[in-house]
Amino acid sequence: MKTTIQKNDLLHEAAKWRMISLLLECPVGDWQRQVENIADEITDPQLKKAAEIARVEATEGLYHSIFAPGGPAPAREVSYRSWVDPGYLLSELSAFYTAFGFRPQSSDTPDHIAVETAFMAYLKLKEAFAYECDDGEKADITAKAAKMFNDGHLAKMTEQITKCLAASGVEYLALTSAALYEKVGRDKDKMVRQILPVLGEPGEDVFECGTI
Amino acid sequence: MQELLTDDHLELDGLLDCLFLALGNGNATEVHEHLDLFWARLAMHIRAENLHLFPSILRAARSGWQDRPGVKLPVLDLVEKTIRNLDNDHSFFMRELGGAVKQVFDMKNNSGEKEKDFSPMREMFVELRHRLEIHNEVEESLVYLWGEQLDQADLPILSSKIQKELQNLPPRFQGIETDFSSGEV
Repeated sequence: MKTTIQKNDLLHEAAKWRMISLLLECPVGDWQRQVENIADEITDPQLKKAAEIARVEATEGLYHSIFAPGGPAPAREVSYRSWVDPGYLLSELSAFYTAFGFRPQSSDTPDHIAVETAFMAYLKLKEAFAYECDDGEKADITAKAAKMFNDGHLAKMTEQITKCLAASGVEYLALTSAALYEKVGRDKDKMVRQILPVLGEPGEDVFECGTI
Repeated sequence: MQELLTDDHLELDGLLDCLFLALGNGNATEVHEHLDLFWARLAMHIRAENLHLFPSILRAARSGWQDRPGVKLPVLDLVEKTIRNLDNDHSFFMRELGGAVKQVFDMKNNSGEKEKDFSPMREMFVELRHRLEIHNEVEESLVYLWGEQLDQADLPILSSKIQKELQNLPPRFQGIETDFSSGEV
């Protein structure tokens, strides 16, 4: 049985994830108001600072100059996993979302970093709700799914996106991605992917006619 | 600082001319190459202004710069309104170009006829170029001059930050020579 304190911890986790997700969304509409509201709910100093800087720094033009196709920090998981079939990746993500009843409100693609982090926030809320209903089994399932999603998807792009955003010059995005990397951690299977692409080894990137 | 950004406008104009030539030729691969470069270069220019120039001007204006003796500077309302309008333009440029990049990428990867009809996209670029011309005129006749009036001790640092953004070309373009006079990149 989870204590009230542990349930509150899960709610705080959900708020943190939601703040990360929001800061990685395009700053349009009532984005600024939402950021201010969630900033009141979190205690993480790095994210609080990111939210504060975002109030003056974030603009739609700047956001697109970083995240739009061909920009310095691609926002989609598919951009960091060239060895995975995009159709398969998107279908796996949709399966995750459907299984837990997650329907993203934004127009971003399912593999966008803002959508994936919003899903993590949603899972933390679901886990807290399951405990609130004394349903430990559902809570465990949700916690395992969150771990699997974190390791299988977010970890595959977070380290690289954090490096890109650290060099972007956009301070609120650099702080947000640093906070994200602290939560997600390194990709534990980083070395495995090296052997996945057929043309993975140095010197194997050119085929000569008749040699294969 | 003023010269850096004005020269960059000229380079961007050259890249946009090249893009129009490519649109006329109707080859999706060629359009994609020119659009990708124009988009990336404009994004660099926008980052230089949004991250460094505009905040410096706004900070100075908010701390009462027009009160400095011997310097004629606009009131805060005008500074804020002008920069807000320029920022709206930046959002428009990035949004439209991001959409066009996606569209051309899909056209390029679509099998079928090699020559594509870029007429609707060309119309969008005509509108974009018109807005860009007005935008650049406002920047060059007002905002860059305000930038030159910032504290002289801070100007070299500001210029170096702007220069760094303007040189921060994504790795995929490094090594590409630009020759605007021949209309080729």
